[in-house]
Amino acid sequence: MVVLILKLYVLLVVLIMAIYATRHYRFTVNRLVGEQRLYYQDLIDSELPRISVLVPMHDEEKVARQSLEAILRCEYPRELLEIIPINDHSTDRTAAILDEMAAGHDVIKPLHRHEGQRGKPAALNDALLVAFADVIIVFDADYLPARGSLRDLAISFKDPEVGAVMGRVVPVNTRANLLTRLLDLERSGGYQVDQQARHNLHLMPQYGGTVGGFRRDLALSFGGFDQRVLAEDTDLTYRLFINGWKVVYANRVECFEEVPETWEVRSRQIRRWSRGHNYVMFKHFGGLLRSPYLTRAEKLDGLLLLTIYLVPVFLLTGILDSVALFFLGEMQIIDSVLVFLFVATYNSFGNFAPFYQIGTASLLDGVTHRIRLLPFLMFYFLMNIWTITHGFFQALGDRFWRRKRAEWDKTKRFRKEAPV
Amino acid sequence: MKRRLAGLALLPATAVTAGAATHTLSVEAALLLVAFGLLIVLPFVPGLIEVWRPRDRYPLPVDMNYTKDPRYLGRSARALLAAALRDDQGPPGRRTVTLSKVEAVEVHDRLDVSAGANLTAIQLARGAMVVGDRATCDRDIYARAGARIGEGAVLRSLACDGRAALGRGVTIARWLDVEGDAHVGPQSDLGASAAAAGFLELADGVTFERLWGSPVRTTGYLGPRELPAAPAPFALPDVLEIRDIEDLASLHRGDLVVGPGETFDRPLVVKGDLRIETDAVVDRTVKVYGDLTLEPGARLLGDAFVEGAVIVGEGAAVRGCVFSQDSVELRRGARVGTPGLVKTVVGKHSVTLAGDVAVHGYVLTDGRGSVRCRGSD
Repeated sequence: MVVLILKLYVLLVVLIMAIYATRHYRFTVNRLVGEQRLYYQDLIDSELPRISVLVPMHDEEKVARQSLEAILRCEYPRELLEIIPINDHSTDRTAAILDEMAAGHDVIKPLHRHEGQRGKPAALNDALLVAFADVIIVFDADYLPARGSLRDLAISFKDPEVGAVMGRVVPVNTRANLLTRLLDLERSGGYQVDQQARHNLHLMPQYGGTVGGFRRDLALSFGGFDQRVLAEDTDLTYRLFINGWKVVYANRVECFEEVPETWEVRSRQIRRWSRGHNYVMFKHFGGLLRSPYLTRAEKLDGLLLLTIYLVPVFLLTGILDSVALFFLGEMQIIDSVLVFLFVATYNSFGNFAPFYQIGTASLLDGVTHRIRLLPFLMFYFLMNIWTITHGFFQALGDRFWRRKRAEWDKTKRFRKEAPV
Repeated sequence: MKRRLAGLALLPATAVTAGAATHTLSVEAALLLVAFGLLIVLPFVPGLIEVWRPRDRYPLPVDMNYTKDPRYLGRSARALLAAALRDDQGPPGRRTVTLSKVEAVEVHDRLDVSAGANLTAIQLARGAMVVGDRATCDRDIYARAGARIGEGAVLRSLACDGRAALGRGVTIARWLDVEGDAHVGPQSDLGASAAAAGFLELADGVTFERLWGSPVRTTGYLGPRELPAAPAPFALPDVLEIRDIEDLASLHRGDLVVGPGETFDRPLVVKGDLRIETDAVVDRTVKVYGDLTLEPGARLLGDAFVEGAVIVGEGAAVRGCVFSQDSVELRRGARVGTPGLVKTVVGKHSVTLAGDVAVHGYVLTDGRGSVRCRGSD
């Protein structure tokens, strides 16, 4: 009986891998030869919405000034714009930098937080209460938007169904080391192919929490950001879709970010994402399936996106399962091709889909030499299996113990000088 | 194990002695290991070379100064030429300047190009410019006063600081940028972009991709038309108890027909086709998953975001932008936008304009844009 269960589990894992492989293949084909839906960046309209730009910051003295200067360079009518950098319990010079910047620019209105819970969701919640605009645009502290970014993001809210918008993130510190180059490849696949294809196919593009925006009233109507959630962006994405709103993806709105330069920092970051994303999975699984506003295709895509940080857990347990079967002498019953299949499927087409999505993204971006690094993603992939699984069990603990708050693990900055 | 390896040997196992077999097997095993090792390492070799001697380690290029400007091409060309010539007040004649590459510039006080002439250098006219019929120029032309382009002329691009008049069948390969008003003759092709600070008037048979004008209008234009009072732009209700989309936007599943006298107090999302009947007024923005049709005389006072095709019927008007993932057809007398406000018409696959049409702002298509004053209306 136990052996039968173990064998069935291996087959289940193979099936899951095949489903994700099909999904990524579909996205890749769409980007290469499919119909591409336009985003709203070409709309020129003299009636723009008022916007509040929020920039959560905790100990961001290395990047705060450059980020705010980049936002100030953006073209947007000043009477319709306010910039709220949120000093979230900083202990370095962040507060002083924000006050200096505010003294020289009326549109900068710092919000200093010294009490209450630290973390992005709590910081955003406080800022939402003082923001003057209907449309909220969010940048992380290390982000450097281009001059047209604010207009190109804000224009999407003319569409009455758009609840949130997401731009494209481009790593700026690719020259640092192999890890940053691998993260650059991963980002390319994730945005240039995955997000754009979901936009094209009327599926569920994801609001990523930065280089993006949302309607303030909607966020407040949901009770603000859930402070138990470490993936407040994914949480908002699902709340919006489940309640009938859409998220649109703006591939042309590109913004530089700094990616982690050490494996340790990256590992902590992805563990936090996994913990947050899996918490959201527990939270919205039922609501997604029951929503009267979503099509079947949206629900299926939403489900696959919702469980994407569960896949490495399946894979790891599937590998352990197959090892157990091997030592039980039962592997000859399961066709070994299947075992090969699920490993190869994931490596080739699965969650990180290097040879499909990332290769295609590099092709579309017109950069070719960097695809030589694709095999190195294998090491990155091995790290991810472990850290994501760890994050999953943390999320399980959060859910089981009904934790009311989660500790926010800030990503370390590496910037030494202005990158652009 | 030895038996299994022997089975892999190229020589038949029976053809070798025991000692020779051991030797052969060890060589084979070593070769196998080397081959296996190579297969493991080989995929990493190009990557190792890239890590060792990087050729592609820079970030993806993001233009930090990019902003949407429909007149970018003309402005940028003028700025480049001005920088290269450094306020050259010298006598007319030929100069050599460095732009993106070394180019010849012919400077004229007034430029008269004879019919059928072929120009191969950049042309700068400090005064007016007249290009004769069927003349060609495969470099940019810049006139600091008005310009008249003869029938059948073929130009790469044209910047003009005064008024411009293009004759019948003119072809602009890349862009046209005019500081004043512009008239474009029948059957002309405006290339990738045509912009005018004043009005941009297009005759029958003109083809285009991007148009900018105040307004863009077609032959037979009869002037602006009054629209009913517009709603406050982009006003979301100040209600924080909203829970779902129906609190902020009316959602209608299936097709919908709006007749005269029907009103909406919030934006409208229609999951099918939407038809606004003759003389009916929709005073909010609409999002339509099917096709949108405004019957003759209908009014839409907000924007239109449409997944299917859009038809704005005779004399119908849209106060806001028209955005279609398919096509847009503006029939005779249709209006988009109002004087003093900039609005946009986007039709991904095509935009078709009939006679007496005006768009206050920007018109764009990734497919074919055309003016059909006869037949379609």
